[in-house]
Amino acid sequence: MADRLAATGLAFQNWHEKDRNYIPVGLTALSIHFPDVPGRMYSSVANDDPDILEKANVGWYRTARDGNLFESADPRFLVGAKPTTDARVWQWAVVRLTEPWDIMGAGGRTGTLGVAWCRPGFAMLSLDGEVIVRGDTWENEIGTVRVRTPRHREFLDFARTIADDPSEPPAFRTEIKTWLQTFE
Amino acid sequence: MYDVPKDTQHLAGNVLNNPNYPQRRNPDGTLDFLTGNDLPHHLQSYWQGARIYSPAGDPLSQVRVVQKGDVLGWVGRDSNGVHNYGKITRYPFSKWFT
Repeated sequence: MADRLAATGLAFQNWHEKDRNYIPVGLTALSIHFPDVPGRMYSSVANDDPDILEKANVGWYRTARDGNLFESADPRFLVGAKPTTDARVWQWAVVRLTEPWDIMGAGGRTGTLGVAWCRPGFAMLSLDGEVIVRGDTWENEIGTVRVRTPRHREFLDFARTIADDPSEPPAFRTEIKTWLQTFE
Repeated sequence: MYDVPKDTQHLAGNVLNNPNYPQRRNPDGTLDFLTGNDLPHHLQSYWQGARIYSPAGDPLSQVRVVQKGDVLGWVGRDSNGVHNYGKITRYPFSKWFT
């Protein structure tokens, strides 16, 4: 996992501290699609743009930096990753952005930040847990979306629905329940 | 039903059973509706404007379900595992759930 992240320019530091109650990686997947989530910033580029790699990478960097995913002087943040290839539940890994980096190209090619070259699918979180940055692939475009971690009632109710769903992986349900305890 | 991947069945069940399940949004925050540009013409007119849904749990997931009126469809995936909006199949029995 660390080697594949390194190929994208993300140097693995450690798994997130257990005493931090971050939003589960799996919940961030829908955070950018949920209504009334504050702090939205984004960049996007058409799937068939001949300069898709450069534009998507520049868009990710501007959205992440300007959206306070990390400090320019200390570019550390969390990224959703699986400890092993057969793991069912995602965890937050602390990473540092290093030069050179290629989030959209190598990130997809290595299967860590996407499913293919310039077909992203990743979740990132600021160290304080306040800022989510998602890379995603739409029907006609790819892009990066930044939001603030949602905590409004509708989102928490939705999270409870998943936590109570026996068809979801038990570890994911437990993660959600642990996170929801923050609000009780 | 046997041709529908299990992860797609799971998402379809959530969409059909949870009226609050969120429709996807475009990068700019507007709701994500299918353009159908990659579909054959006769299917484009059928599916164009469908709501698009994706699952919780996995930021890498390429699973997509579309809903037009009371009919559900599921989006195929290409050899790389990327969703393929040129292949949408009507979800079995979807009208019976609504």
